[in-house]
Amino acid sequence: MKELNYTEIGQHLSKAGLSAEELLDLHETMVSNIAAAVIYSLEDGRVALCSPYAEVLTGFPTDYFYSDHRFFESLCVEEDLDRFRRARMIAELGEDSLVRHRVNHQSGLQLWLETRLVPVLTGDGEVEGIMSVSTDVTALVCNQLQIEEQNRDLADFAYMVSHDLKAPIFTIKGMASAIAEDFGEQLGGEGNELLNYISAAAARLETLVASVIEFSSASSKPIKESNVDLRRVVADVIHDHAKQIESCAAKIEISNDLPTIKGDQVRLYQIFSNLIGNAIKYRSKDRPLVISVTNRPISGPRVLIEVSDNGLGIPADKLEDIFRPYHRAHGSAIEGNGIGLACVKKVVERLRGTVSVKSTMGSGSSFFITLPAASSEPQAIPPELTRCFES
Amino acid sequence: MEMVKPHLSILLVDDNDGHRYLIRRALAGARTSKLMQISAITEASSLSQARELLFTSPKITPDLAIVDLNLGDGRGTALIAELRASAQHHHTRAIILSTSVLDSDREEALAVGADRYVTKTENLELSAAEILDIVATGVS
Repeated sequence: MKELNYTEIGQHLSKAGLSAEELLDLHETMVSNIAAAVIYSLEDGRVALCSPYAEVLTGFPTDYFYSDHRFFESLCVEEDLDRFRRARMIAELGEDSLVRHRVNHQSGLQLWLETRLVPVLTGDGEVEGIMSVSTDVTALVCNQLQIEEQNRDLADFAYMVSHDLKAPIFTIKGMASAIAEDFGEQLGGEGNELLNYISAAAARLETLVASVIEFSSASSKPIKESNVDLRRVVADVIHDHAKQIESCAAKIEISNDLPTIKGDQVRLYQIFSNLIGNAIKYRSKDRPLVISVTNRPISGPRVLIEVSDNGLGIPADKLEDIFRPYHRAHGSAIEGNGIGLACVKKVVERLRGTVSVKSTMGSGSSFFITLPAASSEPQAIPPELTRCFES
Repeated sequence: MEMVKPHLSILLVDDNDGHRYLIRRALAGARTSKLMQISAITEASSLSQARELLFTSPKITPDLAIVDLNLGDGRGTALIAELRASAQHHHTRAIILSTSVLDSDREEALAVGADRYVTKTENLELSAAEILDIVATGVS
């Protein structure tokens, strides 16, 4: 019998001074009442334990589970079976694994379960059995799917509406320009001024529509993931901003060790174009602009890139909302639509990264982006297989 | 001796009256007239009307077709595909002119054989120059 006193639970139980019989009673009470299907399968194929809740989750009496250690697996929906088997394989190799999967309830319904598979080891570290603990996450998954679908619908709607607005905006601007050209003299100063108001309003509307399209696109356009050389991406951004950089005599410092990362080339360009473009836009008139793009090595399978400038900085009371759409740190004093950083955040998160900012008014800002590193050499147990397999 | 400018006949397909006016105006503008002489601009306000002009006698044979992408009765790319499949109009230069900036729309246009995909911008005269530049390389 495994000793309990090397686990925290064991220590507390030990302190409580329960007898072996009381411990067994406690164990049985716990397993009988836990709202989870707990199944313990031994290495030789016997099922030593199956909690009563397994019948609640599957509709099948526990006898079925005791008679066949693969019965639970056989209830998995076919599309999820491979995922479940991979998780089981990980546990058989001695590592915990977590998998989200569907099962066919005897009633005909399908439930979403989250199953944790834990290897039970001998004193020599050999696997002597697998403990699976399954809980019902149907409501959670359905809510998540519903929210994702609603977000997609909203993004699509925003995109389509904005797209359809472009045609009438084109007409308004074009006609205002044609009237000014053909009838400008007859209209006089006041008439031309009115036309200017029309053109300016149409231009603002066009900018707003473009920003909605940009943000919707960042939210919903498919990601094409590959290994991307960040040096190349940043070089392209610098090249495309060459005129603005030259006109403000900005100095650009790029570290030589920018890494190759896992991402979407177009989306990564969008991130750095927005950050470098903002640095140019929000530069200080009091000093020459310096923009730095620096690799900050960190441990683990991620990279950290810092994009910093010595520009105007962001007011402290605006920092919290700086990544939200249409929030502008400097109001309308500097031209912009307030969507750039919102797009950066959206795209970074879709690439499974994070973005944060530190800034001091009057000194400048630093943006910190973490992203997954490029694919590494295959390992005996790939790291991603020890994490939750989610559909 | 002044170089003889090539003459160009254009089919303009757009279901928006205002857009057709603006595009026609830009094509006739000062900058474009330095490139070539436009002998005729025939307008169609729908896909079906354009098909009638191109494929039903008496047929027109434009040097250049400028086609809006989203027409009331179908996609402009369908007309481009029909031009490319037609023995008579196979070599007609064809451009999709649209407000859409979607990469997928651009790719669709080029895939069916459009010579170029041009977005409708404020400065239409520049767009017109870009359009006519395509034709200048192909019209004798």
